[in-house]
Amino acid sequence: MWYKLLVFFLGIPSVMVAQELFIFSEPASTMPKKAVMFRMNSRHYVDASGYYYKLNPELGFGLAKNLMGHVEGFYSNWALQSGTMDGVGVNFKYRFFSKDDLHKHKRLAVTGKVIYSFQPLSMQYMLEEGNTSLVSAGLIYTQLIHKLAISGKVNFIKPFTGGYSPDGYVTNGEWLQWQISSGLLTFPMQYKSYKQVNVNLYAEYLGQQNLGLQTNADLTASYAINHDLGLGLQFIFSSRFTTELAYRMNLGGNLNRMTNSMYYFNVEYMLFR
Amino acid sequence: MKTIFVILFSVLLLQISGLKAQTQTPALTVVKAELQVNGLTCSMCNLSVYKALENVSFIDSIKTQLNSSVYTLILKSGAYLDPAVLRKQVEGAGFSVGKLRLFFQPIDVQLVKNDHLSYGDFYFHVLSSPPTMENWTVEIKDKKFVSNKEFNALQKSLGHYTCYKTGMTDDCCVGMESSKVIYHLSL
Repeated sequence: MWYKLLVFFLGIPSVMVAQELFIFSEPASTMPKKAVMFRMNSRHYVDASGYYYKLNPELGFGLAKNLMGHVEGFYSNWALQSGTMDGVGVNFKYRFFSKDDLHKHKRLAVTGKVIYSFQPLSMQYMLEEGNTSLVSAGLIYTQLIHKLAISGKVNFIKPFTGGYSPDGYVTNGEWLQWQISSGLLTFPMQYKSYKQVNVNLYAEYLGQQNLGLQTNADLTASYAINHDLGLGLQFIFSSRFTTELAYRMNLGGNLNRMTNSMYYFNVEYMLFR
Repeated sequence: MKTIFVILFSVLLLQISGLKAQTQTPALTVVKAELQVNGLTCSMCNLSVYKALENVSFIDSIKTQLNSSVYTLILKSGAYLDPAVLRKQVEGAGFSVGKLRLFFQPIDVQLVKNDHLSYGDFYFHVLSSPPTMENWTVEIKDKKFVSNKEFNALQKSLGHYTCYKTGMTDDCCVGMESSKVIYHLSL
């Protein structure tokens, strides 16, 4: 089912213009030098046991023309029904290759992330969201192909605590993540002013695998793997204020997760200086 | 008495030199420039370049054509346009210069190929002469102001001009101060 959706998004008519301000992943582009970005992500999960949320405030800085840095915090009600601070993190992105043309570009960047978690145990499903203390390093490639923005990321994560799941799975190894994202501008058809509201559609595939063998309760071993699909709608007001509504669902895999789907809401403001 | 003469003479000299400095208006005046920026795909990216250009001291006002990624820059009167500053601002926003077209004030002299002209703190080398000096306009053809492909092709055809390769005046620029920044202009 998921590959059909991907094919649909890759083959969308070329009358539209590409957009790469992805929702669940990041493009290889960096923030403008000296710009400051404020972002508040919120993730919402509903299952039989109740409603869970995670808040992820972020502050980003354009440190140089090709280097940006973010600091972030994570707050959720996952551990207790009342809210707790899960962790804090810093991340960097360095764009080392750029080939620009009129209305298009190819870019390559490396990313690095450090997260310190206050939580004693991590989930089996690997999230860079404060549940686990970790370091990660990634490589991103973004390109416009036939007016469609395509971005791919490979990310390597080294967690400092092992993961667990309620049914006894234990994961100790490193993780490999891979993401393919695509984005389209649906409105306006022609840019005329900075005041025009932009409406963008995104489809993103997010996969991950544990590189170590995991052992489950009956002592059989296997590799933990997971595939997700994120679909999102993004509005940009006055070319500065962004808001995003998205849905992320599980497409397959053998990971034990809190819920198989998630609703996502984000507000973001870019301050140019 | 002698002292008074000396003082008066010095004042007069100062005034003359001051007048001379005032009458030394630049032979070339850029009144407007069109900057096409490459790599832009969204209005937010477009705005980041606009904001970066707003900080440039010699720009008076900016008009944007979002659809074609062209910024029309009106210069402050008496100010010199520095292409390097524009490039730095565009790159700082995360993009690159596609084209930079300069619009000059009319001059009395007909420029011909390989004329060298002093402008502000640097030089211009005319690669192809404008057909008219009324409302004349040219593009900068140097590295990072044209595509790599165009730069390489021009470098081949201008092989004997070291100044095109390095962007600095060299032995090929006769009568010019050496090791000064030089830009190459063409239609």
